[in-house]
Parts: sequence; structure tokens; C-alpha cells
Amino acid sequence: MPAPRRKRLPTDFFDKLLSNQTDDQMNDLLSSLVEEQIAPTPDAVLDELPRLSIPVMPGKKRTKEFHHEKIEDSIVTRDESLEDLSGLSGDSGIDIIPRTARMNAAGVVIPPTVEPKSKSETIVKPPVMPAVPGAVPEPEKRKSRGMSDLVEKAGAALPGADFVVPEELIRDVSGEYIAEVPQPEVPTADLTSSAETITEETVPAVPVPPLPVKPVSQVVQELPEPVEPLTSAPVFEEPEPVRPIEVPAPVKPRELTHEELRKARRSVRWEQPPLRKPKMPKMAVPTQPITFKPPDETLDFVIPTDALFKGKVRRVSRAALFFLLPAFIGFSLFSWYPMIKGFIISLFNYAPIGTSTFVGFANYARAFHDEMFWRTLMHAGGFCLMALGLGFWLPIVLSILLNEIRWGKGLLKFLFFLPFLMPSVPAAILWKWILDQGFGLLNAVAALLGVAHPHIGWLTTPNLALLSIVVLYIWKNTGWAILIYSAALANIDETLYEEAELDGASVWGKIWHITMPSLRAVTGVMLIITIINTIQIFTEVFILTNGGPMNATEVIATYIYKQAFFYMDIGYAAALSFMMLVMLLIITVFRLRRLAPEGE
Amino acid sequence: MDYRGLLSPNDRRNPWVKAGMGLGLTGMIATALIMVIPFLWMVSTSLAPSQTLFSWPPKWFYGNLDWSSYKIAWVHVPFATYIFNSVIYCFGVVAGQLVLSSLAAYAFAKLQPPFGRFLLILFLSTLMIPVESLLIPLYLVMKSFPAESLPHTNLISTYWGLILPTVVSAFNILILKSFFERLPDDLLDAARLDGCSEWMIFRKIVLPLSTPILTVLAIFSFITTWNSFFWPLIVLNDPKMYTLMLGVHKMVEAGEPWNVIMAVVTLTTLPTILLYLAFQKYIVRGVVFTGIHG
Repeated sequence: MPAPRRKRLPTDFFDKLLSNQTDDQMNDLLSSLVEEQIAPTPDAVLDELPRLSIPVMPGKKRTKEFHHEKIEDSIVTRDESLEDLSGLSGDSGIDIIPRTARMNAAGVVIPPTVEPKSKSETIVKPPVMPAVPGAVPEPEKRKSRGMSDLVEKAGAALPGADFVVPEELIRDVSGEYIAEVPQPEVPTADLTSSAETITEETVPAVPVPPLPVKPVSQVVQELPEPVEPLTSAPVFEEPEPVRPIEVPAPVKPRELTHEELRKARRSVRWEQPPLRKPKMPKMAVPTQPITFKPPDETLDFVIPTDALFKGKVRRVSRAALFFLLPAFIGFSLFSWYPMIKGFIISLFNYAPIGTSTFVGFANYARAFHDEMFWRTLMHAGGFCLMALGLGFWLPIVLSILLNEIRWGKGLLKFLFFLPFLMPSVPAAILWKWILDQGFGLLNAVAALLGVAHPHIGWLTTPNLALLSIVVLYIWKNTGWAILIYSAALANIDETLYEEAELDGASVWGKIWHITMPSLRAVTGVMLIITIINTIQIFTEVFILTNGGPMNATEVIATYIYKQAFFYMDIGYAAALSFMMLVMLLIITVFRLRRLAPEGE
Repeated sequence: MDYRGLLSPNDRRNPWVKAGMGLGLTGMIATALIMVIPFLWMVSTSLAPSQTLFSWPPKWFYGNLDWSSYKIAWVHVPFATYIFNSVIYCFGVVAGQLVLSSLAAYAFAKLQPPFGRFLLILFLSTLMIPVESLLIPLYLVMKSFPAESLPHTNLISTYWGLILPTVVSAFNILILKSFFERLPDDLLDAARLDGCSEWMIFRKIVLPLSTPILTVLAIFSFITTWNSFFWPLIVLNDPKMYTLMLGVHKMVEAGEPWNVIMAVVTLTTLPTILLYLAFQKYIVRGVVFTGIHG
């Protein structure tokens, strides 16, 4: 796109620009430019290039401002200006900063490489210009949108650290004399030879502003070399004694450390009143005005909670007691009080109507001499052992197998889990029918298997009754255990198996040395849970046999129930209950200790 | 990589492993059949005409399905009353447990109650007390609630007597506490800054955020309560107050033909299985997470 013709820029433009430090003066200058429709000409721009981009030079006034805060200011404002300018580029038709321009963290603008449109066009690669913080005008000057508009009209980017040779300009002048300009990034022989010819006469006092307008070639020779390859040029490696003025070694823009950046950012702070006054008369009274201090770009509000909630602990905990009160009452009334009451009753010969007599520990002594009590303990132990022996390994094996099959997993799991879904009462009733002596299903199966007299009284034969209840228990609870074991199996790291395989382990070895140890924690918990549940078992026994036949299935819970509600010996029942409590307490404490390492 | 679980593709080519897997598969299918056949037997019996009930060997399928046992069951057993009682029992317990447990758990997790540690241990110690061992004294407590020496009422055969003893659950407190502790403190602090009271924070922030865990706990306490038998057996004397489980048990004791009993059993089992199918995700996760035993 051909650029409109522009008038020449007054030669002292940049000097004026740089010497004008205030906003107003800058604005005046620029608006005068706009009025006169003067744009900075390419040669003016190029003339000023070295001065604008020369990094810190000894003896220069501007370098005094080189310190961290300024760097940070320039970074912040430069970000904004970049946004501003790039936003403009779309509609103005003039790419002030080409979109491909990048800016690194230290604020160095890296202009894009302009690709040649045709071979006739020669390209200048503008040198990477380091940002000299001191050379930046005051940050406020370039904040306003109006300023950006001015810049747009002026057709050139503002001079400054992030000065960019606009693409347009370069393209405009490419035909005229840029062809002479050697590419400063590449240490060509041409450049080297020209550098060698530098003498005192050819280099007038470079660092002293204002610069006289010089021919372009001369300016180019004076270009500082911020680019690495230049330093490898022979002229810089061995300094010439005849050269009166050293071309200053390129000062690299200092990469700020992360810490410095953060510190600098934090130094940018402002305070603002709270958006609305927090109303918290009940909660806490702010002891100091709330200040929102955004420490960096993210709105991470730092609120001094300690100052805000002075006396927080005391205040809040009073509310906590109200939260705890209902549960406390509940536990007192329905857990601790009955427990104490149960123990007290166990010391009495309790009479529901009339007066109870204190008998001390006679109820406990009676229990120790009660043959039936010992039998119930035996039955509970037998039930527990049978349930473990017949049913404990079953879910482990099944879940390991389940984990290996490829399809039908969900269906099988559901089928296994189905009995667990059945409430205990219907399950017991159903099994009462299945175990029926006359027409039960189990006897029919026995008949199918060729048993001679297939009318076995599963629930009426003393030796078989307990076993039958165990079968019901296993049938009902296997699915639940499978579910838990499956979850535990899913947690085993598969790479363990892989490694074992690489080490030559057989399938059995993998099961024995990886799967089982991984399941050990779960297995332990399941063991304890099974023990506790079998000792407490009531519903199944109560419905299937109610302790019969001939007390062969009497367990602790059914015995207590009978003592309390058939023989009305509540004192004795309470004593038995308390003994059961102590017994289970011991096991539970053991269980909790087993559980403890995994969290509560 | 098709490497899932114990057996590698290499293992699966091993003839011994193949044989073992075949055996295992057979065993699993057999076990699954054992698990399911009682259900089929239940349904089959419930649909059997009375005259074919006592045939040897037992018949599985009958020419025409006989729904009369369901009709008899529905007429004989006041299902509506029992289910109504059960539902009230369940909802009372679930509501009580959730409210009390979440309140206490929130206080333990996010506030600093005085003697908090001591109270927590005191609460959790009830985990170790088996409910069965408390039933006798609880019965006496309910008979003259709250205490004989005070003005008291008899709560036997009332909903209150049924529900109250199970409204506190140390287990739920434990689970909820560990859940609440994972909620970010900043969230609550922000609400406090906006002028929320602790109660508002609990209502408007904590409870909505913990809906999943509350759902799991609600389902579980519902199922446990629905299935519970021992306490209703003790505390309910009035047949009008019977819960479903207790009513079914009493009906079986009264002596009915097996097909009617099986019809009742089917009707009792169906809701829990439907509930499971509806909330399968929650229940499975909950069983695994909590290790609750029904």
C-alpha cells in the first residue's frame, strides 16, 4: 500500500521532542505536526536511530534515571501502549507497529523481519533495539487514547525506548538509499571495512545531543551493536589504539530477575476505598480501613484477616456450640444415657412395675454360671468361624476373577450384588422357604443330585441349622464384599504386575506377591467387620429358627431378646447386653487401631 | 497397551491360565446363578397356584400365571399402612441424621468449638457402641422419656419413639467432617466478609456444596432404616404402627400359604431394587467409600 506523501520533518524535531518533558508540551508539538500534516521523514528517522537506540552511555544525562522503578514503569506503560497501538492498526490502514512485532519481557521490541516483495526491493532489518529505560518519556504521556490518535496521524511511532521503524516508512524509502545500508546483524566484510575506517574526523561527538544531521551511511557506521555477531567482528576483538572514541560496547538490556520483577511490581500500588462497606456488625468490627492491595495483575486480594477478625476465635466458637448442641443432646439422650442406664439396670433385679432391688453384680455372676449363655457364645463363635471359613475367601477370589474378564463384568457384579439389596427380613423369609423340609428348593436340588432321602430338615436338624443360617449370611453379603474388594483391586498399580512379569513372575506369583499384599489392609478390615456382624447377628436367626431347634442356634442377641421380652428379666438382659458391649468394644478398638493408619 | 489388571496378553496365551480362567468363569457363572435363583424361585412361587405349590419335585413354570396371591397379600396385609409407617420412619431418621450430623460436622470441621477435640472424641466413641447392646436400656428410656425422675411420656409405639434413637449418627459426622474439611476456608471467609452469619454460611454455601455426599448418606440411611428390624420389633407393639419389615414378619408368623408369603416378599424387595437401579451410581460409590454394612 503506497503511503501518502508526507512533508519533511523539521530537522530539530527529535531534539524538541526529547527535550520536551511535559505532557502539554509534547501534545502541543505533536498537534502542531498534525496541523501542518508533517510526518517524520525516513531520513530524519534514520538519522535519529543511533541516538534513540544507543544504550546507556557514559556522561549522558538520561542515564541517571536508570533504576528499577523506572524500568517497571516503562514496562507497564509500554504494555498499554502496545495494546493501544495494535488496536489502532486495524482500521487506520497504517501499521504503526506491525502485528508481528514482539516485545520481550525486558521491554525490547523486536521488529518483524520484512520479507522482500520482489527482488528489486532491498530490505533493512532494523537492529534489535534495546529499551533504555531512561530514554522513555514519562509513562503518563502515552497513556491517553488521544495520544495514540495523534501518533496515528503523525504516521510514526513515538520516539522512545520502544521505538520501531514503521514498516511503511521502510518500504517507502527502500528505493532511495536503504540499499546502501548494510545489514547490521550480519558482520559482513563491507561493514568491517567501514568500521575500520572510523577516525576522529568521521565520528563527531556521538553521544552529545543534539545530533547534527548526518549522512545515512555515517550514521549506520555509528550504529551500536547490540547484536551478538557484531562483537565477533575483528575490530572489536582487538581494539585499535588509534581510535580515539570507542564505540561503546553494547549494553544488553538487563534481564530482570523474577524477584526484582516482583518487587518492582509490588512497588506499583494504589489504594482505593472498598467497593461497598462490608456490613458485619455481628461478625467482627474492622479495626482498620480495608485496603485492597492488588499485588500484581491478578486480582488476588490480600485481606488482613487477623486484623479484621480480632477475637474471631471466641466469637465464632460460640456459634459452634449452637451447631453442636442438637447432636450433643441426641448423643446424650440416646447413646450415653442408655449406656449408663443399662449398666445401672444390670445391677438391679429390675421390676417393670413396683420396686427394683439392688443385687450388685449378681446378674453378671449368674451369666457366668448360665450354661445357656456359654452356649450362645459358642454359637456366635461357631457362626463366625463358619462364615469366615466358607465365605471369606469367596469374594476375594470372585473379585480377582471379575477384574480379569473382559465382558459381562457389570452384569455379573450386579447379580452378585442383588442379594445384598434384599432387606434382611424378606431374605430370611425367602430362605426359610428355600430350606423348607418338605418342598424347599434346596431339597429339590439334593434330589436332582441323587440324594436318597431328599427331605433334609435344614432348619430343624440341630447340627445343620446354624450352617444353613451361615449359608444365608454368605449369600447375602458376598456381593457387598465383592464391591469393596473390586474397588481395592482397581487401586492396585498395574505397573507392579508389569514389572513382576518382566522379572519372570508367574500368574500365581503375581497374585500371591502383589495382589494379596495390596489387599491386606482391606482384608483386615473385612475380617473385623465380619466378626462383629456375626457376633451381633439377630434378624436372620430370629426369623429362620428363633434360636431353635433345641437352642442349637441361640445366639447372644436372640438370647438377650428372650430374656428381656419373654422372661421379663430385664436386669439380666441388661447385664448380658453390657457384656456384649464390652466384648464388641474390645474388637472394635482393635478394628479402629487397624484402620488408624489409613486415616480414621 | 492392552494391559489391564493381573493377566498380561502373554499370560492369556498360557494354556494353564486359559484353563484356570475357564474354570473361574464357570465358577463365577455358577455363583451368579446361586445368587439369582432364589429370586427366581421367589417370583415363581408367588405366581404359583396354591394347588401346585406342594408338588414334588417342585415346579418352576406353570401354564398360566396366577396373580391371586398378590391380591390376597394386598388384602391380608395392610401394605398401605406399613409402607406409610416405614416411609415416615425413614424420612424422619434421614432428616434427623442429615441435619444433626451436618451441623455438628460443620462445627467440628470449620469452627473452633471450645473443647472441640474432647467433644469429637466423645461423639465418635459412640461408633464403638454396638446398637444391639443398647436396645434394652433404650427401650426403658423410651418407655419413660426422658427420665423417670422427670415429667415423662411414654414413647413406645409412637413415631417419636421409633425415630429418635437413630437420629444421631457418629458415622455420618465422621464422613461429613472429612468432607467439610476439604472445602476451602477462603470461601467461608469471603462470605464472612460479606456479612454472612455462620448459619447463613452453612445454609447458603456449605450445604449446597456438599449435596453429593449428603445424597449418598441420605440414600444409605434410608436403606438402613427401611431394612431395620430389631428396634421396630422392640419398640412397636401396636399393629397400626408396624413398619413394613415388622409387618411382613408378623404376617409370616401368623401363617399364610407360601405363595402369598412370597408375593409379600416380592413386593417388599422390589422397592429397594428399584431404588438401587435409580441411584446405582451413588450406592456403589457409597458402599465403597463408607464401607457401610447393611
